[in-house]
Amino acid sequence: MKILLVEDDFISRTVLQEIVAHLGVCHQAMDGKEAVNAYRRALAENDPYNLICLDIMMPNMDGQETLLRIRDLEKEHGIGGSDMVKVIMTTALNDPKSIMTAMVKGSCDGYLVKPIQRGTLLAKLREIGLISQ
Amino acid sequence: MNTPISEDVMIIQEFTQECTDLLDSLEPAIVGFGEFTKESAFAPTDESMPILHEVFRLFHSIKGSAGFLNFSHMSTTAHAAENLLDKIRKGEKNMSADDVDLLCRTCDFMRATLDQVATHLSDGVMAEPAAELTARLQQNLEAEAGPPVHQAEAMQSGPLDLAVTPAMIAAFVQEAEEQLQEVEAGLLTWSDGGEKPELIAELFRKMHSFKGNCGFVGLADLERLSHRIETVLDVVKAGAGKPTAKPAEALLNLCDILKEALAGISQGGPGTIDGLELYLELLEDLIPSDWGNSPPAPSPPPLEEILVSQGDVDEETLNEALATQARPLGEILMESGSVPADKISQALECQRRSAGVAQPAAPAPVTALKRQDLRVDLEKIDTMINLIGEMVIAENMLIHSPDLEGLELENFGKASQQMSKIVKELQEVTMTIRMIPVAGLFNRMTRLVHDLSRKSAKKVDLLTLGTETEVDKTVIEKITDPLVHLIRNSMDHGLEGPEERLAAGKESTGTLRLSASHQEGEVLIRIEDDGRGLNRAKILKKALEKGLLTGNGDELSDKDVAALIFLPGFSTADQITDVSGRGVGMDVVKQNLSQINGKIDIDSSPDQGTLITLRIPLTMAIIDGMMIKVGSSRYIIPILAIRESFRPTAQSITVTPDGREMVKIRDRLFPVLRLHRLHQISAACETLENSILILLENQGRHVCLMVDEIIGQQQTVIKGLSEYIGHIGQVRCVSGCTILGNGDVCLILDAGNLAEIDSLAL
Repeated sequence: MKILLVEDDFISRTVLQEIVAHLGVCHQAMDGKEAVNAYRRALAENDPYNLICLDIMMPNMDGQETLLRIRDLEKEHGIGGSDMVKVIMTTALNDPKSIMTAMVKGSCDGYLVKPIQRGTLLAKLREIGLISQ
Repeated sequence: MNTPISEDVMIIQEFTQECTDLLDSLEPAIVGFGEFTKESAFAPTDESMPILHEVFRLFHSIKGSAGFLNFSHMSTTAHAAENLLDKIRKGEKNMSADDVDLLCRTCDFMRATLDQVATHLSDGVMAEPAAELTARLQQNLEAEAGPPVHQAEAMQSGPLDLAVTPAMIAAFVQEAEEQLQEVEAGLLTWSDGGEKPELIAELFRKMHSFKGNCGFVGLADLERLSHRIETVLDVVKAGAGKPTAKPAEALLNLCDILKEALAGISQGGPGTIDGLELYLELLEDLIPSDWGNSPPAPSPPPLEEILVSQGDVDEETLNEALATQARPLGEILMESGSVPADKISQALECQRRSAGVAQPAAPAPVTALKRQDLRVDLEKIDTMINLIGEMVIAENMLIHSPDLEGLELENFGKASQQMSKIVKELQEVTMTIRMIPVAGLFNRMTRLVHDLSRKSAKKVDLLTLGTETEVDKTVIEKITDPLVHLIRNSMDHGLEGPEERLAAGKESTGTLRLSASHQEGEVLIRIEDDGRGLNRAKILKKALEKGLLTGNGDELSDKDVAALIFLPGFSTADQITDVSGRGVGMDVVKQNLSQINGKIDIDSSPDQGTLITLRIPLTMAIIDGMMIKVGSSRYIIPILAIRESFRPTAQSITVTPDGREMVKIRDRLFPVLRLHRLHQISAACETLENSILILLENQGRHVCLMVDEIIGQQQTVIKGLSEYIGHIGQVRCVSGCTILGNGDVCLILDAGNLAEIDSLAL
């Protein structure tokens, strides 16, 4: 499995990596711009990510925007349906507006509120069918 | 699981809002799939794939967010729909009409559930429909191509068959009217300029979506008729029409039928069409008899040929099946057990492949996905405009409050200036909300001219200019009838027949120009023809006959003569035609215009043509005014009417032998009007040299108004005069009133009337 972690905070990023490292290749991006670029590169190499963990509050480009850009990229490349990359939003923001924006507009697969717990993240991955029961 | 994870109502509201938006934007796309699947099951192609993805994302999003909120029924149903779509997307299953039907039902279910969720914060009550729908989706997921027909029928009466609400009907009627309007415009171009493939294709698309909408809200008659029209367009598109047939005219008439039916629906009618069969038959004549049975060249070989050539079925069985063909051939063959299902789908696949890219040429509603506008009740906007009017008054009251008089308030001054600026902007923005372009209005006139020119055998070119000019919606409504009358008049009286035109040395085709523009806070609508112009002698004769005039009228200017045609009961048409000549037209025109403070002007020169100008104030609510003072009374003059103000010198004043006062400005003489005499108040100064003169202009007429003092500029909210004062005309030259900061009422002067007054008559 190929994973992209998008997180500007070092500690959070490290924690996330610790949790998912054993699942496969794990790339990191510091902000939305890097993430979109990484995603585009992966598409060009025909080796797209299977999972993106995306923070919402980040410099340069926030997570919501990043998610929309990624979905647009997929649309351009004709990727859709169950081939869309699974995205889990990770954030300290717990306001309804941002949750629903990510869920509905960006079709994200999960929404986890920080601090991220190993158990909840893995449970989520199981739920969306990325790792076996 | 049936209770939400938190009592957080906010998030649920957010959820329903977002999901409703999403459903709104994607439902047409789902309905659009119905078109692909009408003939046979359909597999997604490059063109339809993005839409399929969008729809998939819709259900995916709903699944995710509903799951997040523990709305399990919604989430599982969405999941089932998602699975079905994914299978179609991967090409593992073709999309059948039944699938589309089911997806539409799923959308309906989502809406119903969202309503539930919004009020009860739970989707518990939707358990039963959810289970049923999920089962159906699951069934379709497993089923191969060729849906079981009886089940689709059973679904018709199922609990999920949600009723079409009145709100949906209203939205449908509004949209359908717009669509018809566009179709009509297209048909007109067609009938005038010969057929262009793109135009026909465009018409076909529009008619197609119209038909789709009719079907959606269950208007069978409308759907049948529009379907037939669509077929005719299809025939034309394929170039298979009879060369002699001229369908555009017939279609235009049918457009009218559709419109009437729509109008009936909006008034609560059943939406049936009288004599539908007749219309259908009429259209049948335009369709070649073999149309539909043997499609034109580039289409794929029919299913039966492939089956026969593959040796899966012999011709006899095939003919038998064909004899009863009302459903897709594949289904019949399968049901009668002649051919195994997998062979059929194989052949279907083969058929699809040979169709190649050509098959999805059916309209794909891709562009409609991103539109974001809002239909708002006009009443709400009016309330808002009224409130802003009140706010302007309140602002004036505050800034000009008597308590502040004589105080040096630097900071207050700054703040109040800022506020005035914002209030003004707010007011401007609000006014633009009500503005719509005149394009729609002008398009309707295109149709009118077309019909009239055919009826009267006069050739006319209609040119429309400035269609993008934006005008208040009420204004558009009010000037529609006048415009129709004016154009009828131009066509009937103004423009000549071809022979007469040629005899007069003009081109046989007349020109009618319809233009709109903005000028100094007014909208100008000009109707210009190059016909024979107004006939002075004829008008005078008629006016004398009807007793509308005393004397012989020789002393009247051309403009005054022209004004006669606005008198009630005036009509010069020698014979009454159904075009014009009933003698009710022009005075209605004037009445309608005066309701919106509009003016009408006629310029005409014999044999050159007639120009009719309608001037309508841009706004009827708030104007920029100049406050003046005469004696102890204050007045507001619309700033747009003011040309200049000055204190006259003794030399510049002349008195004519009959006693009129004139003032000379840069070698031109202008009449002076003493406002205090007009309104019989005592002024502070009686001598012209000590007073201030304000030069007003209205439609080329000037008058110098004598006042005592100019107080300053002010945003003025117009309040109508009460019936009593306004109608009986006790106060002359006043168009309305306003309320001042201190609560006093102040009259607004009407520059137009002032310019017409004869100062001697005072």
